[in-house]
Amino acid sequence: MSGVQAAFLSESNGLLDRLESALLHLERSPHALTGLDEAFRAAHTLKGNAAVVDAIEIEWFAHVLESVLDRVRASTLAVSPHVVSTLLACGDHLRFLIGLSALDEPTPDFAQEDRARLIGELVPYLGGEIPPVEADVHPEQHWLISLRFSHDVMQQGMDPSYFLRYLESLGRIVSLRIDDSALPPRTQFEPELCYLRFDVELESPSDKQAIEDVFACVRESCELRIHPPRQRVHSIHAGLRALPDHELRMGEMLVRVGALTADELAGALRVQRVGGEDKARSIGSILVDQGFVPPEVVQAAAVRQAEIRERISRDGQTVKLPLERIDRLVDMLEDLAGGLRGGDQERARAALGLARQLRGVSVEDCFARLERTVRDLAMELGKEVDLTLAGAELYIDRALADALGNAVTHLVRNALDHGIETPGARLLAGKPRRGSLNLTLQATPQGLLLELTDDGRGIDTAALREVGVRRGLIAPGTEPERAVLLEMIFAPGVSTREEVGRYSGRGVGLDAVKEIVQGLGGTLSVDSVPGEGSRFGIALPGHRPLPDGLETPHAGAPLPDIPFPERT
Amino acid sequence: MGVVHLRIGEELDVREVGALAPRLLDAVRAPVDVQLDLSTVRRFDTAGVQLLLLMRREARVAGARLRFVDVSEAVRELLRFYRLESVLEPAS
Repeated sequence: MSGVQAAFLSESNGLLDRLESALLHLERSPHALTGLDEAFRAAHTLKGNAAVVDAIEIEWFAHVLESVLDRVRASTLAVSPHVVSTLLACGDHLRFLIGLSALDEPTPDFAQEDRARLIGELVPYLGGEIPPVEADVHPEQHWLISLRFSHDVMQQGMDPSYFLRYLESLGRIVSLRIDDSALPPRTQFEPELCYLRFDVELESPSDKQAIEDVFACVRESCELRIHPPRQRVHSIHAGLRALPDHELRMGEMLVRVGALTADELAGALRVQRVGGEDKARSIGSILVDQGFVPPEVVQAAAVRQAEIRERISRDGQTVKLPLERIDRLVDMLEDLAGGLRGGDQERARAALGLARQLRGVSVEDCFARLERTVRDLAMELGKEVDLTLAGAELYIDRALADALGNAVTHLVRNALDHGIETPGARLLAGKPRRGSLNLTLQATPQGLLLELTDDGRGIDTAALREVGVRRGLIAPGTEPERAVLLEMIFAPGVSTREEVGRYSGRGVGLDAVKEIVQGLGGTLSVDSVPGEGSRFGIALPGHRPLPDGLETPHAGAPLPDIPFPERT
Repeated sequence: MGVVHLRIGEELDVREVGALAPRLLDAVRAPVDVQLDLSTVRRFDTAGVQLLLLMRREARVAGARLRFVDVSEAVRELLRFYRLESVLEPAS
């Protein structure tokens, strides 16, 4: 990759980050013109840059985005959540295209289809009136299930209505359409065979696996397509971003975040194998063709994959450097700075700071995608949350940043799932409608302290006790101390799961956080006041932020004083 | 135009459709007025729904007029579940 292209890649990602945060800001304050201006400028600059490197597709799409933002800017109507969601999706698509341009691959079909779909959604905003904010009922919450039973299903003793009634028990059937177009002419008609196809729109909080399980006994012989609701797709995006930076295959990633069931993946792999010939089709395109996963989800997974690959083996933007070389440079600069005075010493110290930073990553970057994750997750769960971050100006070691990023994401998901209540419940409890999540990172002489607090419903120790007895962690009839009960939340399989909102996924619980923290030589603590909120703390003794080499103290609001825990 | 009256017994389901189909489909092959009495049908399933759908199609093609008179609760219930109550409207 040439230097110009490398610069384009890194600058564009930065612009997209700005576009995203401007859009998120706009969503919270729809009348804030600054958010709109920022978003417009980001799209405009991106378009210009794309023109310079001859990235025609990117230039064109950025141009469409810019036009939409321009028109929205010119109108006096408030920005609706739908516009923001669509524009965010456009940003994701641009990120995908840009990642693709780095790998120098042609745009796959599903991405082109998806772009067409996005343009379709933007059409109302490209000319004519901007539609008013929608009513509350969203088709976005509905699963779309299409069913083609095998011809002999009824002869096997199973009537299709059994399955549909079972499906209804998972929620509410919003619409049901029977497609009789496959009914043959009378002369070929065999009355006992099933020619009817069914398209169901289902409102349900269940996950994909639960819906698939309804059809367990006919799974082998019927054609089943389950499309998740739009909102679920948001959470899938969040799930993808939260995946750790290990090189995963596309199929695995999608199963991990619940976009794909194991059966579907097996089916797709079979198609891939059978397809054989010269070039095996990509699993992503098969998944889309077969209707297992919507194109934008595959696209988001591909973006994440590209991101992961980029981080693992960079090309042209950064240099792979053994840490010891940086250490030697740091040592040399320390010596140098020590022997100088006045202005020279200041400059040497500044150089020293920069060298030290080479080993580090800013906390701000580390938690950059957290805001988007919170927004998408909150949307899916029907909650409203604000996230604040303190300590963003610190620099920390790269490996530490990765581990902390994972741990924090799990904690945030847990807080959103179990802690923060829905707006209605909060208002009833006399709390402000929007919940707060506060993330604080603080450097103390003993080490680093990270704290995540929420103002949600707190931890239900009674329920925890029940789970503990059930799992044999507590002897029945005993009343363990509150602190002991709270600690139990980190034991595997304990998280008090509610029926609804099972977003936390398979096997990802607070025990995962404990593992990460222990791996860093740290300790995890938790406290909670029922009805008021919870606080999770991660203490990392011995870890220090990397200094920036300047004498002046860090600017910014003073951090709340978090006492360093006594025991290890 | 002559009127053909047909009455189905207690069963219009996968076990009976094989026997019933020829008679029912024959009835709507010509441009006649067909009145189908489903008042005594107690067992009705997707196979039955399917047959009725085909009957309607054949009637439309042949120019026959198919009307459902007196439909049992079993039939109505499943058609309602399938959002197919419109099937019971007279076909032209």
